[in-house]
Amino acid sequence: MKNKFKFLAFAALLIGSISACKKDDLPEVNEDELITTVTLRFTNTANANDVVTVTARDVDGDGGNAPVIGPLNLRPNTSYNLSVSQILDETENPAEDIREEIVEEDYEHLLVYTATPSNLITLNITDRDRNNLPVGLAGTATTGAAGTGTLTVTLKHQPDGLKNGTATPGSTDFEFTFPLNVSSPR
Amino acid sequence: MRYLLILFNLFIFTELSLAQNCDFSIFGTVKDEVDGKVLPGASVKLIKENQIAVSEIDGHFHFYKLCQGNYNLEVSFVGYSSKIISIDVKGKTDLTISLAPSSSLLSTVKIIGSRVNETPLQSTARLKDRELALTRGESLGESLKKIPGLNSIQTGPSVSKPVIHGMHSNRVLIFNSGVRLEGQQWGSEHAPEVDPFLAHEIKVIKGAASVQYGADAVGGVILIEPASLDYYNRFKGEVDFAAMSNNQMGALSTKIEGSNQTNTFAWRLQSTLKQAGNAKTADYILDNTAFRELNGSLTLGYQKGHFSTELFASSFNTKLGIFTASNIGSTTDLEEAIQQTRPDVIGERSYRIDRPYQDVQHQTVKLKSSYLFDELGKLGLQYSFQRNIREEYSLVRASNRNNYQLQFELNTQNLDLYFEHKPIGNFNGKFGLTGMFQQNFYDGSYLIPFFDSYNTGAYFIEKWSKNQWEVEAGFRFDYKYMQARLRENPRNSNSPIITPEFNFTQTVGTLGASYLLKQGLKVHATVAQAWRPPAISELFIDGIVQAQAAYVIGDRNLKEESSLNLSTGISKTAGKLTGDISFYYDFNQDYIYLRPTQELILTTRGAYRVLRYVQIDARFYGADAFLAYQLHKNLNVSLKYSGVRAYNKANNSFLELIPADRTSATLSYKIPDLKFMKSNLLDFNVQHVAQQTRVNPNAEPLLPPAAYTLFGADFTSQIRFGKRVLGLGLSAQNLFNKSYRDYLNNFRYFNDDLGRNIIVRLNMKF
Repeated sequence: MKNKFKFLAFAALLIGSISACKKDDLPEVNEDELITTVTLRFTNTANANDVVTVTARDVDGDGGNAPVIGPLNLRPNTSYNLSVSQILDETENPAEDIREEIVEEDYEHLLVYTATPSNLITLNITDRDRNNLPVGLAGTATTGAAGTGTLTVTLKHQPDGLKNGTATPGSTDFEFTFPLNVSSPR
Repeated sequence: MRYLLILFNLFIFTELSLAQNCDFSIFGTVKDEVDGKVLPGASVKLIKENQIAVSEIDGHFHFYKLCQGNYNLEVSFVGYSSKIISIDVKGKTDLTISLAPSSSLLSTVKIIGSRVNETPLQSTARLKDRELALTRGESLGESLKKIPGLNSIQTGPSVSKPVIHGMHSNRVLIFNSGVRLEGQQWGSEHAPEVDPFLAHEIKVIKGAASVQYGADAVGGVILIEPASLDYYNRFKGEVDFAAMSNNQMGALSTKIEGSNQTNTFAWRLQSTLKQAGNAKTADYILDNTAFRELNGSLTLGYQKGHFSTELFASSFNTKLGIFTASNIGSTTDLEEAIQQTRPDVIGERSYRIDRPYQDVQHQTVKLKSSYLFDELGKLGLQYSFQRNIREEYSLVRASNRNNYQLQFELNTQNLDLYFEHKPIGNFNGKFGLTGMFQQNFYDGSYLIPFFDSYNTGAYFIEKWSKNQWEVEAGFRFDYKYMQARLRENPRNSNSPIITPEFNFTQTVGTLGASYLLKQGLKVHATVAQAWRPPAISELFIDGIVQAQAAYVIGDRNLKEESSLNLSTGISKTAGKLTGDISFYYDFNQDYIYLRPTQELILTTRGAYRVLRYVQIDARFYGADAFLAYQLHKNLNVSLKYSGVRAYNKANNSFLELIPADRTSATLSYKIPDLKFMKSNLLDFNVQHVAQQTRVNPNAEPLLPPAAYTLFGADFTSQIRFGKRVLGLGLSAQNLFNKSYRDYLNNFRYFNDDLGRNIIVRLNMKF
C-alpha cells in the first residue's frame, strides 16, 4: 500500500513538472523559398531608349490576395533583348535577392517561356550554365504581327543533375502568366 | 457479397451435417495442488483443436459438443506450472485438475488466454504468432494489410498508414502499449510513430468503438500489445533479424528481460535498429526513398500481493526520405508528372537520405498502477506523457539548406482512472474517468496553429454472460475544450494574433451481443456509436500540402462528426472449416471530408487545385471475410476478401481514396518434421486488387490505376541447434516482379509500386 502512494505522488509530481513548460511566442512568419516579385526587361535592339519593363508581384504569399501580373505591351515585328532584371522575396526586409542565388546555381535552374498563341512572340535563350545548358535569365525576343495573348514565364528548380535543358524535370519555383499586347503605339 | 451470405449459411450447415457422435463434453475444476483453493482465470486449452476455456470464478470450466476420442488438455495459470493431460472422451467427463505453484527456477509458466472483458464484442482481428512473425521488419501499415478490411495509405515506400474499412488518420486510434498514440495524425504522409517489434500481438477492432476507447475511434482501433512482464523468469531474451532484398533493408530487434528472486520485480529492455536503402519498382530504383529508424523501450514492473505497477518508457526516432520526383504541386507540374510513364530521375542503390525528408521523434513515458480489492474489484490508474516532434525538410536552394521548413511539436498527457468490479451475478464491468491535456507548437512555415486542448471523459461498460449469451452495453460522455493561437492572416507578421476557442461535447453508447451456437461457432451483432471533434488541421490548415499536390483549406466552423456503426458477423474456430465473416454499415453524420473543388488558387508557383474541408452526410458499408479449409491433414487453403463502399448521401457521389476490393487466397502445406527442422510450413499466396471504379472522374487528377494481381510465398521453420531453436522465415513478395500502381498510394501519379522483394527473417530465443 505504501508503495502505491509513493507512485501516485511520483506521478503527480511528473504531471506538475511537465505541464509547466509553455512557449509563448508564435514563430516569425517564415516562408522559405518564396518568390514574390519578378521583373522582365525588354530593350529594343534598334533603339536602346525603348525599354519596356513588366512586373508580376504577390507579396502576401500563397493564398490571400492573388498575384498582380503585367500587362506586357510590346511593338509588333520588333526585336528585343530580354533580361530578367529582378527576382525578389519582398516579404523579407530588406527584400531578398533570389536572382543572385539563381545566378550562383544556374546549373540547377531553367526559365521557360511559353507564348500563346505561339506566333505572337519568339524567344531565344542566350545564356548558358557551366554544362552549356540554357538558363533563361537573358535572351532575345522577336514579336510577330499585332495581336493579344499571354506569355508564361516559369522558373524550374532542377537539382541533383535533373537539368537536361528541357522544361519537364524538377519543381516549379515560380510561374507567372503575363497578359501580352503586341501593338503599334498610338 | 451475395456469395458471402451463402458461405455464412454454409458454416452452419456443414457443422450440422458433420455432427456424428459429437455431443460429448468435458467439465472440470482447476485447483491449487497445495491448499486446494479453486483457481479462477486459469486457461484450459484443447491443444489440437485450439479451443480455449477460462476457468470461472468457482474454478469451473467446460467444453461442449466434443466428438468421441482422445484429447490433450493444457492447463496453465500465472504463478503455477502448466500441465498437459490426455483424456478419452466417451460421455460426460468430469475432471479435477490440480496445479502446483511454480517456485523453482526450472518450471516454466505459460501465460495463455487473455482477460475476458478486454476487447468489445464487435469484429476483432489479431495478428500474432506465425502471422505476426511474417510481418517482422515491415511498417505497421504494411503488416496490417494481412487482415481483411485493412489497407494502408502510402506516400511512397517509406510512409504507410493503416486504413480500416476505408477510414484512416484521425479516424483510426492506435494504442501503443496501452497509451493512446498522439502525433500529427492528420497528415496522410505522417506515418504512426510505433515500433511493431514491440508487439507480442496486434489487435484490430474494426468499426466504431468510442465508448471503450474515446473520441476519434470512428473507423476502428489498433492495439499494439507487448507481452506481459514475466515475473517468474530470472533472465531471458530474444533476437529478431530481418533482411529485405528490395530496399536492402536490415532490421535488428533485441529484447532482454528478467525478474528478481522473490518474483516481485521484473524488467524488459528492447531496442530496434532498421536501415533501408532506396526501394525498387519492377524496373527502376526510386531515388531518395531510403529510411532509418532507431527505437528503444524500457519496462519496469513491481507486483506484490494485490498491488502492481509498471513503468514504461519508449523512444521512437526515424529519418525517412521522400521520393524526389514527388516534390511538385502546381497543376502544371502535376500534369507533366502524370504524362510521364517513368520518373525523370532514377535512383541508384544507396542508403543516402537527401531532401526532401522527414525527421520524427516520439517519446512516451507511462506509469500504470493497480490494486485488487478482494471484495470489490480492481482499481487502476494510468498516467502517460508523450512528446512528438516532426520536422520536414523540403527540397530548397542551397542557401536555405540548413534548416527544416516545417516543424511540429505536440505534447500530450493522459490520466486514466478505472475500476473493474468483481462479477456480480452474471455481470462484469468497468467504469472510468479519463483526462487529456495537449499543447501544440510549430516552427517554420505555417500549416496549423498553436493550440492547447483539454479533454475529459467518463464511461461505463457492463457485460452480461450466461450460457451461450454475452451481451455488452456501455455509455460514455466526453468534453473537449480547445484554444488555438494564430495570426489572423498566418502569412503576415503584422496581422493581429487571435485565440479562437472551441467546445465540443458528445454522449455515445454501444450495445452488442454474441451467441455461441456451438463450441467454436459464434454469431455477434453490435450497434456502436463513435464521434470525433474536428482536428486542428481540419479547422485551420491553410497552405500547400505536397503529398496531396494541392492547396488545402480548413474551415473554422466545422462541428463534431458522429457515426453510428451496425455490424454483424459469424466466426468459427473449430472444425475443418474455420473463418470469420462480417458485415458493417456506417451512418456518418457531419463526416469531415476533404473535398476536391474546381477552384484553382494562383500562387507565384502557378495554379494549385484547391481542396476544402466540408461536412457531409456519408455512408460506408462493406464486408470482410476470412475462410480456411483443411483439405488434407497437411494441406490448408484460405481465402480473404474485403470490400468497402462509401458515398456522399446528399448527391450519391462516391468518396475519394476508398480502397478497391481486395481478394486473396493462400495454399499452405505443412512439410513433415525433419530431424532438426520442425513446424515447417510452406505457403503460396495470390492477391488480386481490383481497379477502383467508384470515383468521381472530375475530382481525380488521374483515374485510379488498373487492377493488379500479385503472387507471393512464405516458408517458416523451427531449426534446432543443440538446445537452441532458430526460427526461420523466408518470404517472397511480388514474386513475378510485376509493375503496378495502387490507388491508395499518394505517389501513384509519379511512380510504380514496389517490385519483387525477398525477405529472410531469423528469430532466436535464449
